Amino acid sequence: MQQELRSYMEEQFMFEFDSEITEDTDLFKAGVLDSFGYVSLMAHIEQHYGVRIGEEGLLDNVRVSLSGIVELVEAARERTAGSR
Amino acid sequence: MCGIAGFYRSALPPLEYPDLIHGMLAQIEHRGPDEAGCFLDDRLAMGTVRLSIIDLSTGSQPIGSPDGRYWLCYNGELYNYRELRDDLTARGFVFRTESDTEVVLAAWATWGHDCLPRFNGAFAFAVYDSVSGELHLVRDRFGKRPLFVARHGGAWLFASEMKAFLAYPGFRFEFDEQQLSSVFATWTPLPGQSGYRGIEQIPMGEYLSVRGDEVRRGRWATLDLTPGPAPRSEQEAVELVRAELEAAVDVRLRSDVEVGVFASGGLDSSIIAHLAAQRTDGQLRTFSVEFEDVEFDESAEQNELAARLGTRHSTVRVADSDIVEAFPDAVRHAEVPVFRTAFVPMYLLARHVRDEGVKVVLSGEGADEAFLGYGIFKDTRLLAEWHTLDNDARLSRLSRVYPYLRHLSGEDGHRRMLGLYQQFTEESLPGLFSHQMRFQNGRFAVRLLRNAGDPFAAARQLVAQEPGYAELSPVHKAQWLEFRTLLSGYLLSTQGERMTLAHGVENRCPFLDPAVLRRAASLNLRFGDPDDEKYLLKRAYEDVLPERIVKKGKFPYRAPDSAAFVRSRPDYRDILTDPGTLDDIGVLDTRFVRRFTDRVFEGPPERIGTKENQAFVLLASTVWLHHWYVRGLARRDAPLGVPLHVVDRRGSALSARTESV
Repeated sequence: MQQELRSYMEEQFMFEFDSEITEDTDLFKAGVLDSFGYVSLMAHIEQHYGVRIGEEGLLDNVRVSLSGIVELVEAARERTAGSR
Repeated sequence: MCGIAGFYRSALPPLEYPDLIHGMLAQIEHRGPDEAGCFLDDRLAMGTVRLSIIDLSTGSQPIGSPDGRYWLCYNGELYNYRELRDDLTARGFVFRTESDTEVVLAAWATWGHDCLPRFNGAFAFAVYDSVSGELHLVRDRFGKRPLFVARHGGAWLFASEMKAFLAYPGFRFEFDEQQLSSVFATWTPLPGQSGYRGIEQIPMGEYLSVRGDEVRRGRWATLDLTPGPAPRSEQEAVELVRAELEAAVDVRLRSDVEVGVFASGGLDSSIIAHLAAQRTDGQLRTFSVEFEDVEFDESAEQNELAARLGTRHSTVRVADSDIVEAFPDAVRHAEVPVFRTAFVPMYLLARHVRDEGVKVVLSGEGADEAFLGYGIFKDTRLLAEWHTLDNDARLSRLSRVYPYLRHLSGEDGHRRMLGLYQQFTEESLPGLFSHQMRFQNGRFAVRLLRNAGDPFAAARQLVAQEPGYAELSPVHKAQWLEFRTLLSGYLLSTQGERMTLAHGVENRCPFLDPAVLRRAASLNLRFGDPDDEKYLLKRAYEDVLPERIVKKGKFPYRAPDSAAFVRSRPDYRDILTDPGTLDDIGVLDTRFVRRFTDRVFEGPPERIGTKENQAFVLLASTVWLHHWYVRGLARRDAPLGVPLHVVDRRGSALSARTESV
């Protein structure tokens, strides 16, 4: 998932992860993500990884970095699996 | 309306002043093609190109006080000049003309800087005290009229438009990368910025006084958003709004030539058209832009308004290719980087108005700032209250904020926006809480620049230095920022008077009457649903305007951006990525510019969002600004089309006159 998301972001948002923009970088602050990009990214995650964003404070205080989003999706998947 | 230009304490010999001032005025002749005049002495040359609106026969400039001490070059209209004239007459002043210009001069001679708060108008002027040698440069309270100042070789240059500086020997334009970074991120030049090194704007409501080496700067008007007492009832509030707007339109119809109205089809300009139609003998003329692209077109509303009010309506129909073809000329007049193309149709509309023989138009500009019409004000309230709301309440509020933005609409869209808004509930840019989301989106365009630095440093400094700003409510801070950035830095300038005066048409904004703003401040958020924008304006005029206009909701005036270029001029891809040009511009990140331009021209249109469109227009306008200003090709070599009337007080002229006696 991490690699797929990484490629998706690089392609969509026209940048490459490197020494300046790492997987831990806040993509808002780096100027990579805007509101349209954010909403598109959330739609992509929901469609590809079977989670729903925006419920139960899912994104409260989550930093919008590649690593932060991966953690978020994994946690959401575990929660979904646990509730089955 | 007019344009002014001049220079002070030049190292060049006074013998050259007539040719120099002639050259500078010729660059801005479009602002005032009816007459030209200048004042010269051994320290100063300044002049005016005049568009005759009031007192067509005797309102010529420059104008001097009866004792010959004060000289004025004036660009603007003083709407309350009759009242001030009566006041000054009662004090014994004898007027020689019927013009508002003479009233400005008499007020200055009588009260000095203290005359300024008495002025209700749109103006920028230079007034010179020939006894003390002091030059004062002054700008109106909202920045409706421009005034740029540059230092060059010890001289002070000043002009309504920067292009006048092209005629001053040795003057060169050079991009200021830090200012470009701020403009790209925040959409507009901040009040003192020009985008070029060594050129500043006199900020709105301020003056600059120079005498020898002594420089004084001061502010004569602050933006007071403090609410006064609330009316007792909604009905009283409605009546107050009507009375204030009627008075504001009344004084703006003072003109010796016909006054028309820009009618966009939106609520604000429809109100102005209604009030003007009531007050116009004969048939009011209304003017609109129609778009071939239905996404942007409001002609149905415009036509219904014209039919309801019985105006003589005419339009300019704008296609993609019209925007792209007029873009270079419109940028030449804008003079600063631009973040959307909506100014270009206004350039075309102003040309049409001029061709129709109308010199003055009223517009609805300022209503959204005064009466909190923009979504950003709702956003700010929501974000400020975020932590007190549950998710259902947040969702409900979100769905009402931007119903017109497709990508943010729909149930899933609003749910996903919860996470987006969450990102902006804390103030990470000190003082800029309300605008963080907008500015965040601007970071993308900053990537076009090679060395952007901190794009928000200037905006943070602007609010940090503003007395009393920190104590304002979040919505008032948002309002203050809108007045100081988007309104003056784009709507009134690039999309406003720079486009209309490119064709010698003057625009007037009744919603920006100081009394209207004071009234609005006392009424905002006190009646009706706070998420129903401009609630009181709708209540006040729902009986006289077409229902579809009142009920439509906020529909921002916009035009096709990058899509217009992609669809009609694919060769722009080469223009924007030409290696020689990019190297010459210097400040752009060549690699990112190429990658970005390829994305715009190759990618599917649905992938091009707001930030890409803004970056595209900023890039295209920067490329053209480089052509016109940095390379200097905007310079016009043709002489003035009208004779230059010269008041010559240079020592050489005086001695020549003495010798001939």
